[in-house]
Amino acid sequence: MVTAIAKAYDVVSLEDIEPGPEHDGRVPLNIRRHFGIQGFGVRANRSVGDGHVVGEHDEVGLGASGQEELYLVLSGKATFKVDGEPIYATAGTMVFVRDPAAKRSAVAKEEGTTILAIGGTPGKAYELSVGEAMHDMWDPYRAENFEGALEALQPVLEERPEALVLFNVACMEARLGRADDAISHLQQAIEDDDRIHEHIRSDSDLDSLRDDPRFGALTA
Amino acid sequence: MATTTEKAYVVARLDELEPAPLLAPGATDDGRQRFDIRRRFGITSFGTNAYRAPSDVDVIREHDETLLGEAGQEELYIVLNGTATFEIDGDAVEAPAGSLVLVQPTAKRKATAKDDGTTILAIGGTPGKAYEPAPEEAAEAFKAYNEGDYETAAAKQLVVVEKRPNDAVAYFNAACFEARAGQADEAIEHLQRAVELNDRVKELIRTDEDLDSIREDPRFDVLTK
Repeated sequence: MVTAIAKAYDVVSLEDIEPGPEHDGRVPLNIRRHFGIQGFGVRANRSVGDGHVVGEHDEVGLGASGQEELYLVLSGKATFKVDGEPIYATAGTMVFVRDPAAKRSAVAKEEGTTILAIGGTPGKAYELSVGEAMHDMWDPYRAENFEGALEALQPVLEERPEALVLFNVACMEARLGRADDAISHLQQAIEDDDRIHEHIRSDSDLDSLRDDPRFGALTA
Repeated sequence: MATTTEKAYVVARLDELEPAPLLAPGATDDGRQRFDIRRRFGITSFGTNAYRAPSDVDVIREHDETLLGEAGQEELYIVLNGTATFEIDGDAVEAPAGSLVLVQPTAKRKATAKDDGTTILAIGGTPGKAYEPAPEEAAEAFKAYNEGDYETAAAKQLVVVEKRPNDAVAYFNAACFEARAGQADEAIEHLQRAVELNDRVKELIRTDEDLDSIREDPRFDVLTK
């Protein structure tokens, strides 16, 4: 029976969490989304072969929120690299990356290496990363249902009119042939964070706009 | 060598962490260990501890996360080793290694180890609220309390109270240490402040034996009604 009251608890085995799509040698297991956790970020990644079980990233890039991250190797073996320094890690090793600007990654040494990642921003209430907030756009996007993807972005745009959201909205509009709306959202995206330029230069979703004289002005 | 530059990262192994001291003086040593991962790493944006216990011992002691009615943490428990039986609001949940158990703040929960060395990682945060790590002096105060050095405990807790002037439990703890140290006036004053901040502190005041030395004080009664 469905009730209005959230259940006092919820249990799942890590094995039973629906994995996200494989990318760059790993599958994400989004524990936070599975439970609807709102107080902190938590996910696991499982390697496919000896792939990047943690993709190289920092927490200060476009759309990042300056998180500190705690990694815990749950099973398998991996070599982390933090700011270029290698860290050999087996099940039970914890790596806490305090500095959001530190580049970090981990390469699995065993098939199925699983690493838990927990994150939060000091002094700030937990908020979904903007990338994750846009999660619902990807299924329709992959099915080339750009109208559906745009619809999924609408509530995110209203709540968080940030560069990456504005950019994705513009991409969908460009795909739908709505050049005026797309250009206007790209302008707003640049105003919010001009690091969006590199995406504008290279993303093929915007190809329909590239001959528009207003587009040249955006990337100049 | 100590430096002023913090390293970008810290590495440790779960099986090599020092267990935190037991909290109450005279607490029974039942073999349960707590590992304060948050403090070990200096994490400030979420809470995280690990617990380990021999079989039949409570690896997570019964509690909820709404102390004194305040909005509490969501807690995620991850069974890393062994098997535990959770009891949550009266439901029994069998949780072997690899189980994830999310518990809402109001639910009463505990977990009993079924195997020796059952280890559980706990992660917590409050939706919509920035995580507030306890000041370092709070841990130092409890350490001194644990060693029976109540004056040091009270002095350390005064720093905590200064840093968290709206924290009813911090005042309550200061009063407990002061009562143990024979500082009745300070203890009464801090209990008054705690009650002003949250009337439900009275629930704690009524029963905590740390306060026994001041129960006969004429100023005490009003703090429990």
